Amino acid sequence: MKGLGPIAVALVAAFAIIMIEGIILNVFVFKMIGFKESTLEEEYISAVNKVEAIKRGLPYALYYSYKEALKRAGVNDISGISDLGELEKNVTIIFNEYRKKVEEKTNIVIPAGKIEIKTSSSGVEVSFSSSSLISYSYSSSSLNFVIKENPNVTIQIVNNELTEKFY
Amino acid sequence: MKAFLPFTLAIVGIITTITIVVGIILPIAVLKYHLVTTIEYEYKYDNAQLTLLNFLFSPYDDKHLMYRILSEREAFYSNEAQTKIEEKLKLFTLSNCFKIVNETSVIFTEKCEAKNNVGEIYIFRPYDKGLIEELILVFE
Repeated sequence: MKGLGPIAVALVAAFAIIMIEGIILNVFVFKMIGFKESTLEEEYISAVNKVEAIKRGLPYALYYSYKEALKRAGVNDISGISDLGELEKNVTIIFNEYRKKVEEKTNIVIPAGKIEIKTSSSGVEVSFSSSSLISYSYSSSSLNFVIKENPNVTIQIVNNELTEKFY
Repeated sequence: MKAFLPFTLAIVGIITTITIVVGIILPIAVLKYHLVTTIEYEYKYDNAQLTLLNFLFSPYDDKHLMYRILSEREAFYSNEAQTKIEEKLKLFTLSNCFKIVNETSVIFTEKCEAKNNVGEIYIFRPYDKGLIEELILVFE
């Protein structure tokens, strides 16, 4: 009986250590699950912001495409254009260059679409429309998602200047 | 000699238990530290990115948004624009120390070393070969 003392103490100590370890592990594991979810959520938020910036930048790209098409046609104003269809084609070519560059650099896909130009007494309206959506795919070992956005946009050009009131 | 056996067993038992505990808890603690650091960095990144997004789409004047001023900065840049950008950035970052850079150069900076919050956004860059530019906002 006398010889069992240290073994009993050792057993109690080992049991206490394992119990404490169990509690610590439990806290660690649950905290880590929470942390991991937060990290994934932050990855998602970052991607949403990235797509949002591209979507909001579309009116500027459309305006530049329009201006550049006029420049290539050798005119400063739409009044110098006799064939609107030809201008629409040229705007589409320039806008498509931008679409490609965006995809190459950011992996955000702006779908192909139709560009329409309408003139009125108040100014020029240029619109881009597509039946597909802007998309961005993210893939990692722990998370896969696709973010989609509406690419349709219409800009107003008054006195050859873009009206920057989109929102 | 026989009397030492229980002590030896007890000590070996405790050392084994401690080794196992340290062997399990230590890697988990390191992993937790790593995750906390990552999450902190990503939170700051998202925050800076959203700040940059809001800044870019805030009005510069009654005709233009900041986006236009920065994307066509060669055409719009002036001392007045610089002052407005500075005021806006102070408002959006709630800081006096910030800078806006792209992949190769500094576009706008205060006289301080901002490095804590980093967020990036791609903007349209007309009249430039790349047509798209990565803008990075850094602030303290």
